[in-house]
Amino acid sequence: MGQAATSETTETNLGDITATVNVWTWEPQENQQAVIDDFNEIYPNITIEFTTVSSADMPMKIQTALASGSDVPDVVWSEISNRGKLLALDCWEELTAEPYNLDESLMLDYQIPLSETPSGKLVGIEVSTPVAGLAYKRGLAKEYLGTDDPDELSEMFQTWDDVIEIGTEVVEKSNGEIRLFTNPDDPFNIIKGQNQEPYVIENKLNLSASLTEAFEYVIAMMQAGIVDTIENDTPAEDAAIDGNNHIFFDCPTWAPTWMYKAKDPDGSGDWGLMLPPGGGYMNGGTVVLIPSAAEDKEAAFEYINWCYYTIEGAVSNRDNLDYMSCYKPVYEDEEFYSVEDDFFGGQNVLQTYAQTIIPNTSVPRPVHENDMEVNEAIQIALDTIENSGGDVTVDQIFADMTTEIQNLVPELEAE
Amino acid sequence: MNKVSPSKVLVWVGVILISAITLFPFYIMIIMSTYVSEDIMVSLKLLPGDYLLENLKTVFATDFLRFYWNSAYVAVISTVGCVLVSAMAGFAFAKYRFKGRKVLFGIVLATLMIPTQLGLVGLVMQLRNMGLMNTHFALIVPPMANAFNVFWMTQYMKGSVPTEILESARIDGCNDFRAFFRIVVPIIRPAVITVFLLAFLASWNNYLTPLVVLNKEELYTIPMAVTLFSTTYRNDYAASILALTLATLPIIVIFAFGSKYLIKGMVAGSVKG
Amino acid sequence: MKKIRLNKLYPYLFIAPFFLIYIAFSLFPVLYSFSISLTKWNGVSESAFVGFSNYVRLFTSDPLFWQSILNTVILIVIAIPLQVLMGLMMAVLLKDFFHKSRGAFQFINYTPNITTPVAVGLVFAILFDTRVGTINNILRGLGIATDYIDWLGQPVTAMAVVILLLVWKYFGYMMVMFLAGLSGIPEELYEAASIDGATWWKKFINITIPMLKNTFVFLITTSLISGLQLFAEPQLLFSRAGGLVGGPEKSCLTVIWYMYDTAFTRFDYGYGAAVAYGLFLIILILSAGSIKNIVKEED
Repeated sequence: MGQAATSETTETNLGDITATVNVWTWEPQENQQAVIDDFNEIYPNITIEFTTVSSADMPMKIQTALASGSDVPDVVWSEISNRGKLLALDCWEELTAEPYNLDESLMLDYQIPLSETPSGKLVGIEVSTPVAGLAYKRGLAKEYLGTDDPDELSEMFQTWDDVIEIGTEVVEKSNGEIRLFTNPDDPFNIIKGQNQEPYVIENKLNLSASLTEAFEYVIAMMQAGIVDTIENDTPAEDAAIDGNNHIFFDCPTWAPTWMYKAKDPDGSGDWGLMLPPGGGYMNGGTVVLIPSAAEDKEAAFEYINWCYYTIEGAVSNRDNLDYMSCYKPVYEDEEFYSVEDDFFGGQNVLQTYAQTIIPNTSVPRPVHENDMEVNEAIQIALDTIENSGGDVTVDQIFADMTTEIQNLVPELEAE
Repeated sequence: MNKVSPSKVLVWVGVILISAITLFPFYIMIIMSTYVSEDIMVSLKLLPGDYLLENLKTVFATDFLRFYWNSAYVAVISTVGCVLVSAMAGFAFAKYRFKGRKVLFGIVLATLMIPTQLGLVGLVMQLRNMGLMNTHFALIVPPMANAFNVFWMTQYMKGSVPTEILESARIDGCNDFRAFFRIVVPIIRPAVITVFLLAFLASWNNYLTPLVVLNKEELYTIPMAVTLFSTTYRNDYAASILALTLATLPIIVIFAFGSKYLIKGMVAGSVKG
Repeated sequence: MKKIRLNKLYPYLFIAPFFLIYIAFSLFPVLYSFSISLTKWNGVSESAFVGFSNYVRLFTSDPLFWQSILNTVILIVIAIPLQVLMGLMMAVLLKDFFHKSRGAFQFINYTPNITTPVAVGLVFAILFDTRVGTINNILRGLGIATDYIDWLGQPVTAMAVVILLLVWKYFGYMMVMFLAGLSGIPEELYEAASIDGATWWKKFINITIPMLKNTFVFLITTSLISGLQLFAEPQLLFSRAGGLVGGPEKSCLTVIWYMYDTAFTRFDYGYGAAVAYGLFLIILILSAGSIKNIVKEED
């Protein structure tokens, strides 16, 4: 048994650490109980207590707790959507400093910018790395693309220009029945995720460097008719997953179990996972943070460290929850994440993630305090593209986005 | 009755139609509670499904009865307090002439315009300083000072409490407090019931304050319990809706019984108001 | 002598509980928020005093503030008359045409008012969903509509849904109030008018409406005040995944929603407080006149 990540110099008997660690999360405790039980084998006297807070309510609850200084939790789950704002509060424990001494070099490179405060402190550990590939329906791929082998498909789709070219052919061949994507958001998120330019540089908006490519491609796709207009997270989208009119679906590590297997129960064998054109990218994700004002910080660290930054923790999370760790040493064992998945036609999905996609994922842009405002503006822009059938120019989009963002954050300068 | 005129038929049809439309969302809520969450939105469902038992199990797997209890006792104490506070203030404004009466009443009205969300963070700071965060205190005491109810009581008492009451009570050697409790309160029973019902309703449905103030699940009130049905990947809409339907039931029952008084209370109150 | 002095004290004693509780737990927090509105604060770190600059920005260079005021006004200016009309109509019809079943219909139509806002928002969001919502399914099933109507995705229809929600929720309350008011109108007035040969309509215009004046004033005043603070219903309607703050093109962004989003979601608490005080200021100016009138009537 080891504390591979921390340089534990004291002789503390781990079983002696007594504390109650309060975790604020939207996950019900029952879901996580198996992992907690494994944790308690090593730390029998640390009691983990979950308090349910929905992700949407998290910023407000944190704010009031921290503002009043009472009932501050020991561990906070932070979803990507409000992570920029939470991290910018700069009230979190720096995990690489004393007494935690987390070894940053052992974290997957692309996770680091997602867990750092604006001042560069590493304050969070990813619960399950949300790296994403592209899922596809094998039946449609064979029929319209000529193959359903993931490597061959990656060869075919090396760039986004290839996507547009081949996509247009597919649309023609199928008389407009078959499209590549359910909406422009999915390819947009991929391209945007592969771009490393920050949205904001020193209080000045940096939209063209970071988003031009993404918007240009998506507008072209919209005009070519290769993307549909079905909104994500709606029943219509569920129907599309279950149906047979769309080939590609955005596939973060949590999606096979929680999205595709759940929503296409009869589709076993019809799915595949490939590396997207341009490589892997990040989609979503949750990071655990420790507030500086918390009471049981050391115990909290033992908990999150064991779960998400040790091999033992990775085993437990993998076996019980299908989570994939952000702790590099785990990936040295090629068979660690390896399960032949019938649902994916016998493909070893976990291995595909671990050995094909993760090594080819670009380091994302760091999270920023105004991510929320920028993402809202992006959403509005995508809606405009959808509603107008792609009849907008990128300049128009940037102009609108700048206005939207500046309304909310007047301190940001236009480009 | 007499002959059935076409206008009567029209009226009956109209009223029944409107009432049906009014009930429609409730009907849908109840129907949705009987399906698996994923099925709710796949297609139109107008008839009950077969998943009710499962959803009930989900709902009661949480500490649902305790949430009921929390909501109930918080509402009762808070409401009784509110009725008292509002009735006393209303009595003073209605039946006494005292210095500053107009200004103070104007202030009461002005407070109606201050949105409650505005003071949220300030309230939390205060509670923290008093050591009262994570208790039900903030759900019980602050709502007792409700300007609308004071306004309502004032209007009601102006019309239905004879001013001579105070005089005769004093002549009988009674102090004003005794007069208030033994004579005035029984007279204003419809208003008491009205305020009780309205305040109870507000307390029962309050979502924002408990959200911010309560961090221990065992203290949660019903509106908060709804957040317990969503996990990272799946929103159990059916269970949420069932929980909300169950939460609304007691209110409907209470109001059904109280509606007779509610009407009576509103009668005198608004005619004079 | 002592008795007279004591008598003078009583009114103050009676109003004391209200004012004490209010000052302690409502006024202080609200004043505290005012002091916050003079700072830039994210709720956690040090706050930075910025004087009135938040207010300057609010009133001179914030299009969202004015849009939210416009939205709020549009919503309540359409919703309130509809609520009043429907409430009045139902009240009159129930009174004149329903006797035994009046209580039942009264109660049925009052129930929307007592439903938890959380439930209402969720149910209406599902009902009006574009692809699988019940409403669209019914419209298509009846042949009235041929395509899916994107209710919550376009400004005009989104506002229509919010208005529908508001009317649904409050017309029953108005109906009950009107019923109450109607029961205070002496029957003799109607009988005398009947003898004079007045029609139902004439009686309605000349007796019913004037006699309900107080009810109208009360309902409209309180509805305007609470309408300007509208927040829960639109926010919950658009709160599902992918829901934009303020609805499509911010058409349903109300002032308090704007405040809540600014202060609690985007951690800009100083400016959020300023938004709320900006609204309060506007309400105060507009209603200073009517408060004076109501207070004057006290004599």
